[in-house]
Amino acid sequence: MGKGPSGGRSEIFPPYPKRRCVRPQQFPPTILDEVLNGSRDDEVLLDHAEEQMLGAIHNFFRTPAFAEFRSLGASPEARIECKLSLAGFPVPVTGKIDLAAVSGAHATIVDWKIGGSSDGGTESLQLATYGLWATTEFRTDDQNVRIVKAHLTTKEVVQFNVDLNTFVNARVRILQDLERMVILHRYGKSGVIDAFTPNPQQGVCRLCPFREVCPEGKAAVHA
Amino acid sequence: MLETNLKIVNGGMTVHVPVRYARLEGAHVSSEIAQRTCNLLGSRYQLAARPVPGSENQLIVLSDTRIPGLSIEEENQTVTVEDLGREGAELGLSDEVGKAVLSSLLERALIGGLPHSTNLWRLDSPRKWLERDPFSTRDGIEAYRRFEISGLLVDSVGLAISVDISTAFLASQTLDYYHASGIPSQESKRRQEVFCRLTSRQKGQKGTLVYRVGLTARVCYFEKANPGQTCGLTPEIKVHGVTYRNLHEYYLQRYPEAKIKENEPAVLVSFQGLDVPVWVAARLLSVRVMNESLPDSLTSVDKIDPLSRIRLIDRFWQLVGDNPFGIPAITVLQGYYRPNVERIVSVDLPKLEFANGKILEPPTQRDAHEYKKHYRSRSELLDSVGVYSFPPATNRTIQCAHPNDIPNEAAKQLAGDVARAISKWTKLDFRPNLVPYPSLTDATAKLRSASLAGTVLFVLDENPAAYYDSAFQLQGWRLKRVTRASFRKHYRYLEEGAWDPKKKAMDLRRGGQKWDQYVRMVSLDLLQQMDGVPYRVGSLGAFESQLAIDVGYDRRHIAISLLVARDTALNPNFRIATEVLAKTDHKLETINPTILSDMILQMFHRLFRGKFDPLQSLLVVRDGEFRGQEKTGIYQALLQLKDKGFLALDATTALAELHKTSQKSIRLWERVGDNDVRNPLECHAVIISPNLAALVTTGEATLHQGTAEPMTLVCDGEGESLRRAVEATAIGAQLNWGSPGVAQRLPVVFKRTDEELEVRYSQEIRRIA
Repeated sequence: MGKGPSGGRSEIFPPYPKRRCVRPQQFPPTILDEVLNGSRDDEVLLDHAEEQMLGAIHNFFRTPAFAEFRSLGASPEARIECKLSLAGFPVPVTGKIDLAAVSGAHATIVDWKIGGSSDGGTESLQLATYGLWATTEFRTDDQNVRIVKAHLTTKEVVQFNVDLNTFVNARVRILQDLERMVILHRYGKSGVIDAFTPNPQQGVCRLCPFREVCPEGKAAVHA
Repeated sequence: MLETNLKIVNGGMTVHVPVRYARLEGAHVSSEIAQRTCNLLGSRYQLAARPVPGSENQLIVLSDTRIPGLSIEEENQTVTVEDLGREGAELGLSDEVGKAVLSSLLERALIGGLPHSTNLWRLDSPRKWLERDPFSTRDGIEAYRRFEISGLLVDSVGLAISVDISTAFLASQTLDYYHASGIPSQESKRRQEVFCRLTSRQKGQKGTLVYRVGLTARVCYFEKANPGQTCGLTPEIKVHGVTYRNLHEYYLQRYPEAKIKENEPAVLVSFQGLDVPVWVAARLLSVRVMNESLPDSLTSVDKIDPLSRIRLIDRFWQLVGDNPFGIPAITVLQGYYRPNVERIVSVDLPKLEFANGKILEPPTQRDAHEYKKHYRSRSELLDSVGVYSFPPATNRTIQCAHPNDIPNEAAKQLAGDVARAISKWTKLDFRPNLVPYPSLTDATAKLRSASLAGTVLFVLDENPAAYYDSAFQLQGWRLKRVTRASFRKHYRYLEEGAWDPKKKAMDLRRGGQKWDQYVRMVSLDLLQQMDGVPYRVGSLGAFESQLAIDVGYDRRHIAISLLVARDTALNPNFRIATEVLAKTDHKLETINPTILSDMILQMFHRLFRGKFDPLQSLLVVRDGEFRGQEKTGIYQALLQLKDKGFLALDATTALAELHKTSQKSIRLWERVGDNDVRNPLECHAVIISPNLAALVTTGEATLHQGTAEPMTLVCDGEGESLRRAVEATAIGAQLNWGSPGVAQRLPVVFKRTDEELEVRYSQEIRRIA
């Protein structure tokens, strides 16, 4: 295993145009949104991000708890940044998995985490969806799927316990979310913007990809 | 004589209360900050305060002495409170500000004193206070009496305080018991099962908990418990800028009296207002047991008859003593408020029409015996005469899909009895068909191959995913879920009998009755799903139609229900329909006005087909408050309804709010003597103010235990609008199709929205793993 890369912020974050340079219809990637649009000091944010990323890369290479995943990732069958697509839904359901690998009858999914640990429902749905994909992709059953969150900052490996029930719940949850999307899709197609309720939470509103076409979103971003 | 649980503040309409005015100063004083400051004044200084209406930076404080200068640290600013020095200021009910704020000021003053003058404690709501000790403990669950307090203005009478009694249940064991390590696996499994049952986790709930540390108690929700996780092993935590090595160190420094040890179990919980779940000591958590998870031994302890309720309310007033508001001159009058006759609305029960024009006349006298007889006749007529209407083209097979492990003879008994009941009411020949299934997929495939769409009794467990999946796979079908547990329980009654406490033995006849009641309930529900109308009313008083709007408990669905009831010469003259839609903005209680408007319009398109006569009147009722821009959405819909001809151009419309559980905790009872208090007769209301009424639809004739629980109606219209809304609501409640022999609490439109939302709630996936 090689040494972790080193280098300054300029290598990791090449110069990015400030908000005033971005044309209105050109949206910055969400990952840099706080820097581009945030009211906080972007230098502090960038310094923090740099520090976190370097620490994460260092931990990735040096932490014994991650050795198994490094080795799995180095195997020829490993899928890294692998695109997934789930069948059996009325619309395409897609995603991207950090690492998926199969060893014998067992499939392992690794979700690398840089930020702090969280147990929010969204994360459970995301991981269960990966597991759902793995059962069909690797033709294995729920008992042979292992899903882990590998926290690069805290060097923790947290197993996400799954069973058949988890996958059934994930499938139904996706269908229930789709129900809501279908309702709004109709309005989106006919351009009825009033059917889209603005999110009262400023933080969420500011990260919405439709903020530039929504009066409330525009007001929040340009405040 | 009709009496309420309201205590009137002395002085009536001429009451004058000493107040101080204070200025709030800060970089940006919002209404939230003003409210928070008022709460702080209450909890820290026992001062009742609220913002001056229309002015966020001025507060009115109930006090006859100068308010101390205060400085409050907010997230990005410092807010100061400064007395404005208006000596001798008073507020009365003759001015508009007094009318707007005095009831809530007195409510806050009363509540603010409770932690100091009593040993009551509270959980989430500031208005609900629990007695220190449980009044009953059975099967590992403690039952606490709870006082619900509210202030309101009774028009032309004065300020009033209502106190009502409710019951809260907490598990006796704290969470360290359920998540203990080092115990035999069999015992650990048993404890886990009990925990899951008490928290309803098998129904997809997270589990509501109470966290008690120091002097505070807060509601939180269970997330997870890792085996071996202790307070000493939790990650580093940061609270109010201070970093603690682990949870044990946090307790040691912040709450040493809790005596939390390093090796005590910790569990992960989420609190409202915190973005991420946090670890807390399991010993400081108790399960809050919801009514549906109670064992049989406790299901009736919250049913309190009127006289016992009065005694408990009396106890509260004794507890708070002679100076309940902290200002000796302000107290409450002896006895409870009795409204005069002009304020009482008695709605006559309507005529009901069954099959072939058979009419059931209303009772001739307003007395409980006559009313009881009348309700019983509804049930008898349905059995003998049959339903008012039933769609003739309905598929006559009732499918009964049941898991293979349910005995065939049990399923046959249920399906056969249900088919017979529906045949009796519709005078059509319905036949059962059993569909035993090894898996859900197998069941839905079999059913779909049997017919395009039909009616199915689906025996399922309480898993939300299974319920959703069966409904999703069988779109267009009328699906009635029968839970495996309730089916088994009732079939056992039929086979083995039910316990007779008098004979102290199992009784087959009693068991048979329980089974018959169960079959009747299932069949009546199925009959309604098949669009059968057991009986109808001629109109809803002054209205030809009523539209109910409701949002689910978890805000994930919106339901609307429309009832048309009018002269038979008109088309349509009697029809009811309900629609449910997933709510796209479930973080908010308010309904998006565009979506609401479209839902209403689509509902009319569905109900008014072919040639129709426009409606001359419509009452639109929102469950709870109209929020955000909802009224705009309704007005948009009304314009379009008129434009499309569904509603006459000169139609009378009214908007009202129905609070199913009385927002102000109002109760009504009939005072016969000092020790003789009964429930009021069904369909009585008290007008509290020109736009607020309390209505009871269940009462003395059919309530066997407990006290009638009024709903409150708010109607902004002029003149008789409120009384008309009360009448329409009371008549709507007479369509008690789910249980014809007894009065129904909710008008049928809200019964329908409630049921549909309950179905969706039972199908919703709230946690994945």
